[in-house]
Formats: sequence, C-alpha cells, structure tokens
Amino acid sequence: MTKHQCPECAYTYDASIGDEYEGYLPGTLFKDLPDDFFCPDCSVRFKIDFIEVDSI
Amino acid sequence: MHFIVLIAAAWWISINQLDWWGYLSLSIVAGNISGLGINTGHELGHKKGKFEKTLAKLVLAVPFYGHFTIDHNQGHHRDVATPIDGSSSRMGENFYAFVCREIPAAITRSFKTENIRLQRRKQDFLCFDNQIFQSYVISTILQGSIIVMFGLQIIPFLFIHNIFAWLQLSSANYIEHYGLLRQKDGLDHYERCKPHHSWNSNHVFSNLVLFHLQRHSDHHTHPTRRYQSLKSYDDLPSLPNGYLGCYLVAYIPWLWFYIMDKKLLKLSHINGDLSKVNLDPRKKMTLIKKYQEYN
Repeated sequence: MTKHQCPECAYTYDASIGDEYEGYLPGTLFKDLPDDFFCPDCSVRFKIDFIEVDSI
Repeated sequence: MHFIVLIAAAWWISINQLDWWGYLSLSIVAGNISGLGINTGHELGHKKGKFEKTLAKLVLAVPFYGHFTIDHNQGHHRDVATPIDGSSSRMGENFYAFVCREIPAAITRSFKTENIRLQRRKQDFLCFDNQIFQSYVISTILQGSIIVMFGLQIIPFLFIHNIFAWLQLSSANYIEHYGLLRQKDGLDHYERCKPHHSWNSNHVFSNLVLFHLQRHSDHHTHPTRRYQSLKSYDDLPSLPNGYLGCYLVAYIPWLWFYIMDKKLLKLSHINGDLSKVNLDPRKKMTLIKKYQEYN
C-alpha cells in the first residue's frame, strides 16, 4: 500500500486507510481515485501533483 | 459573540418603537457585524481540526451562510481567477451584477460538491452528515427562536441582517480577484494559483479587522496557513486602499472601473494584453474597443 502527499499542505492519502470523510474506503489505491481528485485540505493541488512518500 | 449581537439587536428592536430608519440602521449594523463573523468562519473553516470546523459552522449559522466553507475551500480555492469561478469578479462586471451571479453560484456549487462527497459515502443528500445542513439547522433554530421570542415584526430585521452580512462577503470577493486570470497549460488545465492571481492590501485597520485576509496572494498560495503567518509582498497586484475603502469604491461602478481597469492592465504579467484578463463576456467587445491602445 502506498502513501501520497500533497506538496502544498502535507495532507497524506494512505491507501491502507483511505479517507472515510471523503468517502474513499480502506484499500482504495491512489491511482483509483477520480481523475479530478484534488487535495481535500488545501484544494490547490491536484492528483497529478501528489508525491508518493512511502510504501509498506 | 455573534449570537449575542444578533439576539441583543433583535431584543432591542422588540422593546423599542423604532422609526423605520432606526429599524433599518440597526438591521444593517447587525448584518455587518455578522459579516465580520463570516470572515471569522472563513479563517476557522480553513483549519484541519474538527473543533475549528465546528466553530466555523456555528458562526456561519448566524447569517444563514453555512454553505460557505464547502464552496470557498473546495470551489473558490480550486477555481479562483478563472471564468468558471462564481466568486472571482470579471473585468467590466459591476458589483451588483457580481452579487447576482456570486450568491446563487456559491449555493449551487456547495450543494453539488457536498452531494458528490455523500454519494461516494453512499449517503443521501438529505442526511445528518451533510455539513451544509448541519449549519442550516443551527440557523433555523436560532432565527426561528428569535421569531418565536420577539414576534413576526422581527422577520424584516432578520432578512436585512442576513443580506448585509452576505453583501460584506460579496464585497470582499469582488475586490480580491477582479479581472485576474490563470492561464491554461498545454493539457488544457489551468495553471496553479500564483501570487499574482490575487489583489492585495496591507492597511493596518483592515489587517486588524479581517485577520490579514487582504494578504490575499499568500492566502491563496497557502490556503491552510494560519492568518498570523500570512506575509505581505511588495511586487504583487495592490489595491489602491484598504478593504473598507475599496468596498465603497466598488459600490460606485463607474469609479471602480475608472480606477481599477487601468491598474489591472498595467500589471506586469498582463501589460495591456486583454487575453490575459478575466473579462465579462457581455462587455468583452466594448472593453477590447476601449482598451485596444494597450495592445
């Protein structure tokens, strides 16, 4: 499972946890997030901008 | 505090036989104080913590503007300085036309955004987890209780109060991005928001009243940065006065256009090129004719 981080505000999407508030179930891979996904915290960085930070 | 001001103003109206102008003045003053509450809600709504987001819902409930956080954070910040953003004013668009476009657009965009999130969670739009309705429920209880306590005569007060609170927000939105436009990159996406996509002001009074909101370039570049840390830069689009002074100019469209249109076209990244300006489509040909000497 991978982690991807917003380069602006450090919001981190951890595929093993997902994002319950946003409606992404645990196990949802970052690549499977919608193409128009943008950072839920700052909204100024998009899917293409996120950086892979960790793998487990 | 904003709850107390609203209730106290309603109580004062109910126990005094005010003339129409006294009634109107108190309603406008109360509305403007709640407008400052929207600004407080703006700051709190940008925070990541649940407690601060709950406080934002509470303070935004006072003027019945609970959809603001979702529209602002996930709509305005994403689309700012583009023609699709209802909260970015266009060159040639007067304040009153902007208000008529901005307020409905904010409501519809926030509902759409929240609906998409709830659909992902497999929940109905009408559910308790709807962040907008949570704030609207508080508004209904608050303003409904005021009507029950002080009678039907208080309804016009609440109406005027809400409208003037909303207008204060619209005033800020109108001056913050007037005519500024993000360019499209090769992939047909808009470039990321940069400091020159916001108008700035750094006057002491506005800074104190509005939590450094007018250091707007830094706010849009780093939306989650706390207001105490927002920086002011010298080489960015600068408003001719503090926010409150600019509001007054914005209410007089010909004066606003006279001052701001030339200022906009003189910005170094625009340099008279109207293709780099967010133009009101209804005024496009008129503006091109008027300012063709800049090209």
